Amino acid sequence: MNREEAIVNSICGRFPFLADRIYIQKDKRIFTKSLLREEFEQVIAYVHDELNFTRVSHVVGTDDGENLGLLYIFSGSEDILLILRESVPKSNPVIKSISDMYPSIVLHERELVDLFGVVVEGLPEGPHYPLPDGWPEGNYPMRKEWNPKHFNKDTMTYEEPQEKEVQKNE
Amino acid sequence: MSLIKKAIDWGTKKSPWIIHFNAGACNGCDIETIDSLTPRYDLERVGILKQGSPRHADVLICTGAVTLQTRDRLIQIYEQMSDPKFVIAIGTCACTGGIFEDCYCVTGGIDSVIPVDVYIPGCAVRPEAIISAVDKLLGSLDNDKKEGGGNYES
Repeated sequence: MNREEAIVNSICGRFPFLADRIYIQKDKRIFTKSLLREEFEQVIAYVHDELNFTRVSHVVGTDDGENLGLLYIFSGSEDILLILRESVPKSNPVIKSISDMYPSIVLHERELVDLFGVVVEGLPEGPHYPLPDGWPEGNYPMRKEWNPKHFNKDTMTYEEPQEKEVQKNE
Repeated sequence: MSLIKKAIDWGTKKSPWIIHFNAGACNGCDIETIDSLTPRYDLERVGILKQGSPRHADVLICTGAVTLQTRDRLIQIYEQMSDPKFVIAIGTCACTGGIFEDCYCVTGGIDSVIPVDVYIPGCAVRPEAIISAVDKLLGSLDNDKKEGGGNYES
């Protein structure tokens, strides 16, 4: 049994519901499929405390239409990366901050707040990052339905073209 | 007045002082700009000196596409410079916006905000290109004088 399988077995032993959702993609790369918020919080505490994945190197946000996907990349003392995926519905995109375990994640979580409109519970209030000062609320540039062509940079307003009127004219 | 103006023109051509402003570049062009000032190319030996304050500078050297966050700061720095003042756009992003054009937080090249005198394309530009651009800028000042001046009168 190699090191990756040992880690996978350890996680599956603790969380049986993960057995068919965790896989070794190749050497040194362990992925999970999308987890719900409650599952993710349990797994992440275990991974940090017991398996010594003490660093987080990236957080990637994705948008598949109805759900927002979050992809956390963890590393530890060994050269193995553990990639955990979390999925939240776009109608209620609330996650819990993990900055108590990983202090360096605050900047990444701020990016999720600004670019994807994720609500992060436990994140201290702060300035816009990385969007500029005076950015209008409710505009999340990395969401699929947001089109940069409809954004007026001088007045900082987002105006969608009125498609219904165009159809009437035709 | 004309004597003072002559002295200012002579001083500008003899020793243009520059200020460097990063409007949202990836630092590639910044490295090349500093490279042209440091001993390998050594623009300082011909009198081109980097200044820390826009009030002391004649030439504004801009790198990178203008983002919404730096737009107001760039205008502020440009307005603080005393006449006659010149602007050099260094790199493809500074000339047209480059690959960042139409991005949600980018207004375009430097000339979408302030007037630009010399454009240097390249990603990143070579220090030789920067030296050539400064040379051409000062040459254009001479040519303008021959045609009666006007463009660069303060």
